[in-house]
Amino acid sequence: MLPPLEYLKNLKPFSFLNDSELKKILDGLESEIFDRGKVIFKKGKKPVKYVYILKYGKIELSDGKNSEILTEGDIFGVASAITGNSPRFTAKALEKSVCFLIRRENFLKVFNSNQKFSEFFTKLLERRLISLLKLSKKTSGDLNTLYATKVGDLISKNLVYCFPNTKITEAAKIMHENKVGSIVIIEDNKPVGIFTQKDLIRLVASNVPLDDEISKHMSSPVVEIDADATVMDAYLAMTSSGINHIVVISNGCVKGVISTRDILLKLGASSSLLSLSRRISTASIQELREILSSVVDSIEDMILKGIDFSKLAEIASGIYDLMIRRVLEKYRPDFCWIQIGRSGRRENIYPEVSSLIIEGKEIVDDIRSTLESIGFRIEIFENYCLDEWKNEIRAMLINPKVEKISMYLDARYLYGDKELYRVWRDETSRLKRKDIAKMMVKDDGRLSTSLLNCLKAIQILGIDGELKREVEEAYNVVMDIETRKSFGISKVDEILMKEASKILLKAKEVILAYEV
Amino acid sequence: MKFSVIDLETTGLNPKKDEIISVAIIPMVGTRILIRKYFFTFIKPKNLKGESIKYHGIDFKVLNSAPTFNEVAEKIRSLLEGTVLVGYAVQFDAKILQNHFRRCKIKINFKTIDIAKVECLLMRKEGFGSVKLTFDDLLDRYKLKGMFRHSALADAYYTAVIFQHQLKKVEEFGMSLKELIKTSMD
Repeated sequence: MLPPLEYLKNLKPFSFLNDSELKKILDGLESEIFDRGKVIFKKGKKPVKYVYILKYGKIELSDGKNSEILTEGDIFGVASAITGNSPRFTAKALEKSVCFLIRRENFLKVFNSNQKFSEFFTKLLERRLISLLKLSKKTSGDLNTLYATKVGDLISKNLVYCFPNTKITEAAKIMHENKVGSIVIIEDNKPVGIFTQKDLIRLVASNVPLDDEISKHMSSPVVEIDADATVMDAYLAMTSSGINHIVVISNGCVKGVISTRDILLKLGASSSLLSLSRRISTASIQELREILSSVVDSIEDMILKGIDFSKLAEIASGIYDLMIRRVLEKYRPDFCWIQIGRSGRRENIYPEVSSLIIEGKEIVDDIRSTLESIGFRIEIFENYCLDEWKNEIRAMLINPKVEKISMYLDARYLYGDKELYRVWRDETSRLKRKDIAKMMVKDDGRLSTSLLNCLKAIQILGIDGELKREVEEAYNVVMDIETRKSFGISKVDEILMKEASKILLKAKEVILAYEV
Repeated sequence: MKFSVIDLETTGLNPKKDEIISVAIIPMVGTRILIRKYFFTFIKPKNLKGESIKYHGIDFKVLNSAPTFNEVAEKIRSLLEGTVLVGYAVQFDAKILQNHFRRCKIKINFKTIDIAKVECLLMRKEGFGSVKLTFDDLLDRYKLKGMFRHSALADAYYTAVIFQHQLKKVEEFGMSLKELIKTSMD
């Protein structure tokens, strides 16, 4: 095969093309070498006649204000080729560079016939980074099912239900006749509780009279999910709450119940997190240690399989929350445990926890050593009593410490005295001033950190709309890539990182120019 | 200036007796490689004996069903006419082609540029001594080695890539193309 064709076949998005489409590209393919300093096309001038792929060398795209350096495998001139408008950038060779050129007519033929191919470019041009990431990833096997299957389609049996005043014996009979492991309790067409085989065994074992009304012993309220949600969402809800059954709702009516078993059957290997999370609520410290190590294994496996960062982080953080709560519930809840940083944002992939504590001085060392013995890495940033907190925050009103305030923005209650949390939150909310938002975006650190700071500033300033969406997407995509980095990153990842940096620049500009 | 980057596969190294079994041509206009106009064909030799052709890993059946040189001579002539032949050790290609054309009653002369000789010239300009360069040496010098499997078409393409770079260097040294053609006609 002709080497350039072989090259394109492995370059996204040309890899999406079939043989006859590749032939159309080949029929318009040329190669040219450009001297250093050569302008290939000029902003505002004639529309391009070719789409360019940089094969060797270095090319700069610049609109006079911002510029971007292209490297091998980058594709440029696409926007002008698609629209037939003048280029928005000037393309100039910074060193001797070789490009493949695809004649515009040939490019457009394929662009108009292959949806995945055209989507790749339109998403890139519209900065729909998350869709672009999805397009480029190959989510494998059972994880695909997780995203593609709707919860409603997983319901295999008719809804089995009874009413709050149904006797336990009666409910057991209904379950037995229908061969199901759970029954939904309905009142005014709404699910008010759920009762499972496990509940029944518990009642029999503890000599509860079986002619009691079921409402006394059902689990309530129920966790609901919409029939149109994906199995992924159900998986998420179940792992993070450690429950076995979830009620499926369609147009406000109960449609059925799905159990962890239903998902386990559907998924095979990657559902191991689900079975692990179910064991947490009754686990001993020793068992928690074993569970945690298996959880980390499963999560690494899911990274490799290409699951989205945000979903994975939500699952993992949910499980870590359950485990930490399991440890904390051994202590009297007269303190308050707050998650901050990554844990606060539910972004933990690995068991690394950052926390703030109110009124927990006596127990904190004990808790820390227990969590560490299980396998958590834990960082406790501040452990004050409420009055100390108030003083700290008041001092910061005069002399704001941007890093800390930024950290407080991630805070989330995990366990203990909710009233303490409410007071603390009200105090810290006074720190969210608009001038501080601007200070937040000034530091330059990692791309993900800078994007996160922008997001926080956007939140404080109350900026809404397109910019917010772009920054959110950029942040999620960058986190996704960083999570996978140790497993290698692709050309598309590089493009995404570049786009994310551009979004960051724009966001910073808007934030810094915002009238306070 | 128009070029035809060429790579032939033959039954042997004697331009009088041996026969062409494949032709790969990649046209260039100046430094622009017109990949879209590439041409490739296998050719059925007159003396096709199964065992005798073991070179190049080409299947007997493929050659047996290929057109004869006579059948593609006009097409090849139209591609090459008015262009300078570019290749590695291209004089051999020019000679064997001329002989094949003569058998078809087509009289044709070729101007040629040998990329190995161009490279030697460039190396001398850069202050290096002159050495004999194999095709692999050239691939190595342009960091193209190990990127592909050898085939007539791939070899022709990479010859074009090398020549594209060489043309730029020739320009930088202020040399003229005529000088190159003359050199390679020696």
